[in-house]
Amino acid sequence: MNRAVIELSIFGTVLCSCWLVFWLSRRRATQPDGGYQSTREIDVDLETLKQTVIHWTTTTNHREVGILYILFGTFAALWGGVEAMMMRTELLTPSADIWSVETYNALFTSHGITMLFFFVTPVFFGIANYFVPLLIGADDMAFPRLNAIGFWLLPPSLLLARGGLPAQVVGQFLRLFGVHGDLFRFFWTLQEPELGWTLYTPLSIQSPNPQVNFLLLGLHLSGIATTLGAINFIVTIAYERGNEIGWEHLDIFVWNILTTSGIILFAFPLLGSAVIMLLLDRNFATTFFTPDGGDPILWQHLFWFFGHPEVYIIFLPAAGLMSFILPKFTGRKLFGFTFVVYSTLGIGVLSFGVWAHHMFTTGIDPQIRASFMAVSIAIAIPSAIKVFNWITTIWSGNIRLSAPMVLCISSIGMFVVGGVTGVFLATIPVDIFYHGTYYVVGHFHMIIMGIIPFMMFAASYYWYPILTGRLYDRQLALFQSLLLVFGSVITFGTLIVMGLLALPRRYAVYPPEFAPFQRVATVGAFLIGLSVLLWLYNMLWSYWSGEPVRTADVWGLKRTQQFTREWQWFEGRLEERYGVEPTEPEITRPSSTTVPGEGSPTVLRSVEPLLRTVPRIAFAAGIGGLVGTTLMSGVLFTATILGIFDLSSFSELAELVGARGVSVGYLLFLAGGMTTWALLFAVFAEYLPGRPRIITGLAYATIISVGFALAFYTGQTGLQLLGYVVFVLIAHWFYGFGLAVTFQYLSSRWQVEG
Amino acid sequence: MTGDERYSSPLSEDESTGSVVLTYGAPFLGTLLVAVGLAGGTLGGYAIAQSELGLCGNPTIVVYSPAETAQYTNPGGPTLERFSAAELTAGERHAFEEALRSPRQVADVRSEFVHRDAFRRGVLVTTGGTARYVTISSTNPCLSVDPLLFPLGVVAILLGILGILTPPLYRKLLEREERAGRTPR
Ligand code: HEM
Ligand SMILES: [Cu+2]
Repeated sequence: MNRAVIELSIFGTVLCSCWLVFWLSRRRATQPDGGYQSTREIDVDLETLKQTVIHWTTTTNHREVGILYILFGTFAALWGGVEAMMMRTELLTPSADIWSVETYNALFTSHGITMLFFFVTPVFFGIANYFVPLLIGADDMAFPRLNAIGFWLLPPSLLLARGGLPAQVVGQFLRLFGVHGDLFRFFWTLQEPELGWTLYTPLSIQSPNPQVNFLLLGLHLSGIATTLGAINFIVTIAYERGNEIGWEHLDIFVWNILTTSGIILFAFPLLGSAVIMLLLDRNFATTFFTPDGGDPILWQHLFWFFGHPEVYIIFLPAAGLMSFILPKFTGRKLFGFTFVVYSTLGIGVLSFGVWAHHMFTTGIDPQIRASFMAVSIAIAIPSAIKVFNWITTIWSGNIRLSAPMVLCISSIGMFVVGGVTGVFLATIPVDIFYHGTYYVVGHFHMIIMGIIPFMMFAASYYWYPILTGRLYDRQLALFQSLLLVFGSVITFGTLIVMGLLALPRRYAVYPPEFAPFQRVATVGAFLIGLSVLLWLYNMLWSYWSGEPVRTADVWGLKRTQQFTREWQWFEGRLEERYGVEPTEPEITRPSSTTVPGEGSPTVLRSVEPLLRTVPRIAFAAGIGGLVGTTLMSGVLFTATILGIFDLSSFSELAELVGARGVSVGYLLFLAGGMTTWALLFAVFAEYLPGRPRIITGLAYATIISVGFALAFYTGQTGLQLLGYVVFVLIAHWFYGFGLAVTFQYLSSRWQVEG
Repeated sequence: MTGDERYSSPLSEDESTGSVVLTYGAPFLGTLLVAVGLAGGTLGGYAIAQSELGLCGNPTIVVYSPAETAQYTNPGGPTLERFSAAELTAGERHAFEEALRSPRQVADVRSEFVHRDAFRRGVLVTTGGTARYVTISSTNPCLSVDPLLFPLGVVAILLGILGILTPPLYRKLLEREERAGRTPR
């Protein structure tokens, strides 16, 4: 089928429907009440239109530039989303009979590039442009004009990078009208590249398609735009803060934007140089990356030295939104604020040290590989800290299940799945096996879909009143977020399963036995698509016809003293513009108290006592773990004698770190039982259900036994399987018992709070 | 529930299970049906449309430039079947010539394709002393699925839309009943 025309028509249809919703909603706008401006009037005479265009193209106001960024990013997301849907449509059948193989290759290339470069960063920059100055009490960005320029570089760069598609359509029209001259040849030769977003050499050097050059120029330009924006954020946050806002009062979202900008400053110029070298190789016969004279692997090093930080450039703002929004809907302060900040900074630094984990299969030195594996697993720790802090913030909070909160909670879930599958990928043997499979696609989409757009949606709902002065349809929003979550889990969960069954990625043609899985994944993807349309509808319709806000405290934030700066600014504006009186709730309570079950506990407030107690807790946990693991070994030993537990699974454990032998595996098992699981227990002991500590230990052990049962399963069936499961459970109960009793005894002796 | 309430009322605190099922369950099933219907309907619909529009069955060939061809003719490489342009069937030759003219060096073979297997492996076509490497770049197979898929897909979409519209329809129904009850007999 003719991809170019179809894609542009679908995309065009979506945009036209948006406009239609907009238009209809304006006609049905809610009735005016009193002095409040309720219907928005637009005059459509030429003069006003000209004024509007001039206003929006020349504005330097940080809020308006922010909105431009958001609109641009949404536009790109819809475009990339249409491509995702088209890919999934192709995959409905095992052979490439809907689109051709070439079209499929072009689709995943442009989907990846559009999503990563033109959707995520612009939208986050937009949100940050709008809210960072409000959150730090600045009047505007430090360099407003640079800010506007940074934005206006993006449309041309999108056009350069994605010009192949419109060019194809133009070419087809010219051919239709019988034009065959040079102009036709120009449009007809440009076509979307089929290289994959990583643009691996030597393929990207050899590809004769001239559009690749434009793509590289477009990427370069977008890099310049992003770097300009990042510089602006850094300077703004450093120098434009209000007098009363010291570094210690910075919001968590601002911290994340600051770190992200820092990473951008070091990562994007690198991409710029690499891209220029590639352009030279393609057009001026230099040999940086060619097999004869240069080194194709050099491209991979340079690319991933940019590429891995890029992963965090798009992840950190989402994490910031999560840390920012989640507490508002639990009525508790973010647990362990300082730790979240440190983990953010830690990720920022570490993200530059792991790039080679994308290259385990390129035959680089095994010794080097092992060190990269170690660092890659280490970078999971700051991310895990974030997750723990989020979960603890929710724990026994006062949860309100509105759409943003649903998105936050499910985001955490998807992030955990994405993170755990990622840790597996960072271990070399697993990566060598799963590297080129759908497992990878499932893993990174769990994160890239599960936290990035989810948090953007959450932010769009949370701040909708500020952005538009109206409320969105809450019922529809709740429905939309549930649908989105359901669709995402179905789609990307299925991809992980297909990957585990070793289906290679990036192929339009696949073995027929995967067809049922692929169809389930496609239906899930269509659900995501439908939910995105519902969101669009809600945003546009409510812009005109939503209920006007009557109080700035839409979310009842004053009740828990979390009425942050941007809302205070909004309140002031409402009062000054429409005379809306500020409200005061009858009862308030702080979001952070020492009363259990109310605010966030303050145990991690000060670092001083922490330094004294943490080693003791760790030690108690370690001893507890030793006792527990020893008890557990006894049970497992019995099971081995009965023939339902296979000791060889220990040697598999050893292979994960590149060693062999049952005894090494057992030592690893012992180490894990004394560190990871025991420490987790120590951290969570306070928050796990069950009063006597023993019950807590048993509950904890039961939960982790699921993971163990999966990891150590060696193909038992029937009764043997039943016996295996039962023995694993019993073994864990022994572990939990030993751990809890020892831990309790030691920590009460040393008088530290667990 | 009037329009305004949907925006401002606190959610689901006094809602009965029944109404939750209605407001969320029915549209949810509806959307699921639409998604399934989209998948099935696209496949079924495309299967019907493709042959009408001539979208399938014509494989695409790509012709390499003489320079690119060099790597296929060196002695160590595989031996490829050689054709002179005259040996090709009319359809094949036409496609070959069209590909030579096309800036992208590709063209569809629109009628009988006798040497299909050879082309799939790759052949060398000689015209006027220069050999060019030619191969099939895309086979464009026709999609064949159960003809029932299209109507079923459409039905699923329609049913789904009905499901999505259940809450407002139900509300309308209730309103009408209320009004009918209030009118004096
Ligand atoms: C509706 C949701 C989405 C669906 C159904 C989807 C689907 C897909 C599919 C089918 C592939 C190709 C897999 C392959 O053949 O290897 C892919 C690749 C990719 N997607 Fe998505 N995607 C979605 C959302 C996103 C988002 C939100 C992002 C980024 C923020 C993203 C970034 C990528 C990237 C970077 C690739 C790799 C491209 C490559 O292999 O070069 N996707 N996606
Ligand atoms: Cu990485």
